[in-house]
Amino acid sequence: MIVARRKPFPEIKGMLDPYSRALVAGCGTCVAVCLAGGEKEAGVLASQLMIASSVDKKEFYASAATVERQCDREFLELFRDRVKEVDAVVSLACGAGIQFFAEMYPEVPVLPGVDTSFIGVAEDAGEWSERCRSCNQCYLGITGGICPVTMCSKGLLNGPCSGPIHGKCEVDHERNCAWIMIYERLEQQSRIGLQDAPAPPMNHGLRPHPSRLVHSAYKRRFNIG
Amino acid sequence: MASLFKEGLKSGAFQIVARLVPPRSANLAGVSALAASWKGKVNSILVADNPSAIMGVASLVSAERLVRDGHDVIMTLSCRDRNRMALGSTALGAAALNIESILCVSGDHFNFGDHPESKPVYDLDSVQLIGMLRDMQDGSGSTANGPTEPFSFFLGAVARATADHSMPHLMKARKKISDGARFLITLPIFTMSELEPVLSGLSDSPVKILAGVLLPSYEQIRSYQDGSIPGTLIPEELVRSWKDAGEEAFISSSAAHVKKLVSELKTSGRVAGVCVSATGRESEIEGLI
Repeated sequence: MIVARRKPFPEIKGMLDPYSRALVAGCGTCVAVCLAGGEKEAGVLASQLMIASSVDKKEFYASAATVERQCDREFLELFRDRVKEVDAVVSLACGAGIQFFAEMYPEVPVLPGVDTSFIGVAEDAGEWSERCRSCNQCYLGITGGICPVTMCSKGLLNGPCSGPIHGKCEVDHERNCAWIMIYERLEQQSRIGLQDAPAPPMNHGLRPHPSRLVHSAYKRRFNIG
Repeated sequence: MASLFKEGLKSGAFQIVARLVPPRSANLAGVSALAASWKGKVNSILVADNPSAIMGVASLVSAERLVRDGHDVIMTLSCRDRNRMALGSTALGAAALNIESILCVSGDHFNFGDHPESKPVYDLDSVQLIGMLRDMQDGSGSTANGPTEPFSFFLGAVARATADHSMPHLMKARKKISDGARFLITLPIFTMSELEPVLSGLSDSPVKILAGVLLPSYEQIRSYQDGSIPGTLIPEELVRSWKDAGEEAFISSSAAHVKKLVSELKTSGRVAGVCVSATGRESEIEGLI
């Protein structure tokens, strides 16, 4: 899932300074799971903003609403009536959702309420970590299911740098070196031969920005249907 | 101009390489003076490329000054700061300036250096850089260099010597060799026995291995803990005795230790040469070899 963290309250409040009626728009998928921008967090932020404005004696009103996902137009459509009532929106979706919101409602400023951090997993209660950098050319088949692009601080594709000390990454001594883990996993699975040949340089042509993916069969079927 | 270092390795003569860190100012007079003090005592000078991610004069520019001064050089090229375009064009520049020996490294992470907020590049890793430069020589790679204007690189890489998780490091060293590395310089060792994993692990390879040795600064030792010097593990006993010694005694005992190690390496017949680094103590190098 996409992991995000909510922006510090003073930053959000500062962005809203010029406005008097705001909608805090939650997203019920990834950012809800990582406790950054779901229904509960949207409600809390709206309340925080109301309390702060009353302390500041500023005429201001904030309300909250959350949809299933902000990365689908049909869900974003559900905000239409609410957007008409405000002069600013704080979206708590990831960067993709915030932009899609802004694209759908160009008449109103859509402000980011979170910083989008990474694509990752839930390690533990309240703890997430990165696992994928969406390079569009997955190496996991030859690296024992451990991604060197993401898990190696340098994203090296052919083995460890000279830096790891006692199996730990030179950049973060708390974290295991990805390449030592890859080596040990492949050896455990008797697949270390997969690393005999050097991996060629990554093809950055496969990851243009912004990327686009078309599922032609589905598109065809949907358009006909 | 052929690399004297390459010829020296080919002849089997023990090669002495001194590592030079380009200055953090726009003045190469110190580089010239230091190299002049090594003249006749070292076979080649390894020019570092923003080591420990601290910004200094470009390795190509410093190397070119040394070539003009009449020294043989090995230029370091780090993947940390350049994408493949910049790496290739820097290497072509080196070839145009008669710099043949290139040490290809991934590069210490920005976290160690003076610009920790930089974007780490690592478009290629050191294995891929070696492969790209190898292919550039015959025009089979990403440059349009044709066979009418041939040039050659003498490519090398760094190898981690010690027993700390040696197998993954050996795996990578083999890839470097298969992609075109002709010499390897180990990360600093402090005792002969630390070389064992790399020497035995690569004994079936024709690659020439030079042992890296380091004359550390007092500051490096005073604040030393495993991991504080990138890729370098100093044996616990040595750290303790150097830390306990006090600055003055440390200066002389560390120099004596490195001098003895260099002499052991020279007589051992097990390595093709030695590469001496001396953080902030470069003027002492001539006394160690």
